[in-house]
Amino acid sequence: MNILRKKSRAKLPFSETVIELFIRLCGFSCIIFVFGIFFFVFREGAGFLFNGLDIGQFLTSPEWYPTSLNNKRYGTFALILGTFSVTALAMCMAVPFGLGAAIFVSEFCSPKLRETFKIVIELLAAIPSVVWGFIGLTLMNQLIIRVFNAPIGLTMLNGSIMLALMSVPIIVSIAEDALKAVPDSYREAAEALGATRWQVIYRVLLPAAKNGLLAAVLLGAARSIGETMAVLMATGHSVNIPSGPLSWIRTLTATIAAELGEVARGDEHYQVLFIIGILLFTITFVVNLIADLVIKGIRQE
Amino acid sequence: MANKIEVSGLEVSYGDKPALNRVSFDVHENEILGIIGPAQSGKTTLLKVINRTLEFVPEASMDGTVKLDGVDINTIGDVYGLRRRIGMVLPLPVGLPLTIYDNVAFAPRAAGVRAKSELDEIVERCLHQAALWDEVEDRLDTLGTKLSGGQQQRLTIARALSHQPEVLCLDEFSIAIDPVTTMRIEEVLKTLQQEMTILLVTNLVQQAKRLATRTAFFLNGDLIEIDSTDVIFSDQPAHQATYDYVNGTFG
Repeated sequence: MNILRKKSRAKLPFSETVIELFIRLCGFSCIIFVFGIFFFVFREGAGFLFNGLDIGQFLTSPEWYPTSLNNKRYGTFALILGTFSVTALAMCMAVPFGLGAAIFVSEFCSPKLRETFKIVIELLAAIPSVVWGFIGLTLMNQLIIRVFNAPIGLTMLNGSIMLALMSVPIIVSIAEDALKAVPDSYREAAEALGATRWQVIYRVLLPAAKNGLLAAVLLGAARSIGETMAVLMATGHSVNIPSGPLSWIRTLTATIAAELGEVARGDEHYQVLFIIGILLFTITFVVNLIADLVIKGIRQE
Repeated sequence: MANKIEVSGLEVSYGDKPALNRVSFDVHENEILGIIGPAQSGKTTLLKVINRTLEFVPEASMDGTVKLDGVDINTIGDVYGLRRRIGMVLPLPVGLPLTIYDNVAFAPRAAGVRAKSELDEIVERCLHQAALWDEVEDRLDTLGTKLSGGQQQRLTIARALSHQPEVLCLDEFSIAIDPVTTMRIEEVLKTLQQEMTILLVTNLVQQAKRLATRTAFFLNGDLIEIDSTDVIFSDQPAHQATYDYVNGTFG
């Protein structure tokens, strides 16, 4: 194999060499960018991270008082809880809806209707998050106040509904691709065995497409964790340990977005915001790692 | 001899392209009916009509009647029940992406069988019948798709037998497997003939000669001739085209 490759490379004309070099560069550049971003975020936060920050307090204390005059406290526990709770609630809504819609579009739609659905779903994915935030701030706020008789509608529930609406299109389009990729011969074989449509779906299609479906769910979740603007506008943006869907919360991302513009470059508060960035980086890394391991596990099975 | 299937005036077309032209014939109980003919002669379409999977082809239209045990299959309300009365083996083996056990237990489960002991028994019986049990008995929980082509084809035969069909349809089952395995399956079919009616679509003329009680010759959607296999393969079948085809002059 190696010998073959070397032989063929020796014969490559000049233009091929240039193209290969360019493509190689494109491939490596994404690694360079990821490391570059991580390095930059880490450099900005490193000083305080290793010298002065109490990491235990940073992760477990709910007290976030970065601007207090005499006793600055940097506890992100409430923010971490906020991010995870709003994402979890959003996923509880988005996953069943998204997978259900994907099954409908892929298996029950006529081809014409399917095209219409796909266009609409892509449109939904293209709505900027600030617009979702605006809807949360105005429409959903009023709705929650009326339905739940709550004092204020800018809550975890509001934010997670917005996040769910944002991640559903991602889940639908990736899950639908995964279902469409299951060979028709599987459907025919199962149908010839007397399986009903629904039996074909949950006995054959879902197991056959589970890698793709898992990827769809995880990408939807990643979108939710990373989303900033909509949750900033819709969740009340108030540091608080959530006690239920109607509590107001604040997320890690929203904190960075709201406060980074108001800190002096290089001071403690500035550095802590970058440490939150490192924390987010770690969270997404762990989520991706788990996803990889799960998918690998499924493959080996 | 009783008729298991009665086909009369069957016409099928895909869009404006005809696939079967006013075909009429009977299939006797417990016979192996060999169905031969070159490509595009309507053999596979015929099988799709019988288990009503033609309904999944959007542009297909059909006329005429097919009766199973004297009942027009298009009047049967429970189409899933109908499909379970008919075992279907397709040309390329399609192991469902499930374990060997689950592949065979698929149809019984779809029909509502839940008891583990009952499923165990069905799986073992069908794998024995398909001459696959000895090769897979110690790895029933591995993926069916990991088996070799010939083993997968026997797995699909086991699967087709799992719902105890009255009619077994085989569509060029030996296309993807070696001659030795083919011979083993042919032996299996001869045994199964005691219990069910078998429709054997094949491109191997000699296979029909070896196995079939009667043989039907299709050409371009027309049923040219159906008669006992001895007559079809004799020097004087009713049609010259039949003689030419079975003797390899064309096709």
